[in-house]
Amino acid sequence: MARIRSIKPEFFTSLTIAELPLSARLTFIGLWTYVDDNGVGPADARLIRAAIWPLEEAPDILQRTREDLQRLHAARLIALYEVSGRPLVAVNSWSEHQKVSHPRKNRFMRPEEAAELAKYPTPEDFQSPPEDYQSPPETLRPEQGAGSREQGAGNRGDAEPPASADDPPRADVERVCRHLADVLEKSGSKRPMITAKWRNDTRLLLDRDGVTTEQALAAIDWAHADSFWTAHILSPGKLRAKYETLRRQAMNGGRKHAAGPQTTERNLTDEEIEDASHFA
Amino acid sequence: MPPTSPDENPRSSGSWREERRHEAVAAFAARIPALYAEEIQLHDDVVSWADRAAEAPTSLFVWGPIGVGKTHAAWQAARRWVGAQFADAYRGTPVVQTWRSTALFDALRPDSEGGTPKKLMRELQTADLLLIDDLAAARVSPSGWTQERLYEIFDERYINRRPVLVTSDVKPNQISHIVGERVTSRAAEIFRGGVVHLAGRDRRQGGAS
Repeated sequence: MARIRSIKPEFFTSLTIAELPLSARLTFIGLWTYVDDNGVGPADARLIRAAIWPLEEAPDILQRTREDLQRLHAARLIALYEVSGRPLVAVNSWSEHQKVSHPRKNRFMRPEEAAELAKYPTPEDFQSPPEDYQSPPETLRPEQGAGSREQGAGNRGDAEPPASADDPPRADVERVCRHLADVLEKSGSKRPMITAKWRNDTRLLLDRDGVTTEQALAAIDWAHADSFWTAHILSPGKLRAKYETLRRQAMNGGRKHAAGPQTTERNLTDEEIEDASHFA
Repeated sequence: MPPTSPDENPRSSGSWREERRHEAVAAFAARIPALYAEEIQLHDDVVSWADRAAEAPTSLFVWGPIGVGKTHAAWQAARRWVGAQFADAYRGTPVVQTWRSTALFDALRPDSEGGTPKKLMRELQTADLLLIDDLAAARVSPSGWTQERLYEIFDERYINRRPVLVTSDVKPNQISHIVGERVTSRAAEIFRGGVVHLAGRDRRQGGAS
């Protein structure tokens, strides 16, 4: 969703920017409004063209947009990468350059996060081949590769292809993820996507926390039979964070429900007000 | 040169907006029940919410004992909020839905007299501001029907970041018994930084305590 962004005066004195053709500079500025509040958007040249160059009549505008993106990529101003087979574009050093007030919920993962997760490959990572963004940009001028670029905006993690498939998907991890998804779907929610984060949290629950597959499955079942926990254990991350609490409560024969709601009494102390101000 | 057209004159567009603002605030003020019509001193957090201050939360949960002026504060905050919609990010006259929770659930019932519950649900989800007064007054239906309706409203508004203004005489940490766990979990997000406690004596008792 397009949003208003700000341009710093340094943009016009940046050597990195000055090396770019004018259209790439404008495409770069346009990209800021194209990406979400996390600085990330789908890396589809057609969508970017439609967002940034809607009235440009030049017949080769799509191709030019592609070239602009490749130049921006070569100048390390943007990162082109993939999450779960979806090509994404991220503006590098986003948080340094844009202070977003009232940010909307992030929709796409930053490349740094994606690179972290790519250590745990998912089957989806290997299904759809990336678009030509992953191949080295052909339009890169030789002199752009070298030279001083101290003004450069991007020295953060650049596009990283998904890690190689040295760890195959694990049966135990898949089983726990699928069970949680099943339970959630059965309770009337939309079936959740089993994401890389799901697999990673589950893997940590099993490996690092020493919980067995059977225990994890039992904890999911127990939580979703409980009127309180069923609304809270919606992801392996939460399951992992609350595992110990769940285990203790299950041992004590379930949660004791607090007294029913009453109208607020007068003359509460500040501590009581503070305490009661949290939704629980 | 002849005088420029009104559209090109920044001052006239400003006063045009001011006029709209005036009209919208007056129209909203006309909806305020007589008992709550008087402008009162509002809690600082309520003011910054209504004025959409930079740090203010999107939604507000006003709680406190019976009779301290929660409803009055909510109506006046909503009036002030309407006026603030005509600042920089003006997107037309805002639509405000105001409901007492009991009446709200009656109107949403499929058999509601002459009503159109589906249409109403849509309006509750999409209004620019939704004021639900006395949230905890609604009866909890054993089937969880009330809670489901509330979840439909809150979830849709939450994911679109549309503001909700709620008053309740039940503490936030006990509200889950009324609205259910799912809504409570949403409420924790929706009202993050926007929980305001009002205290004082019961005004309806005329000061006799």
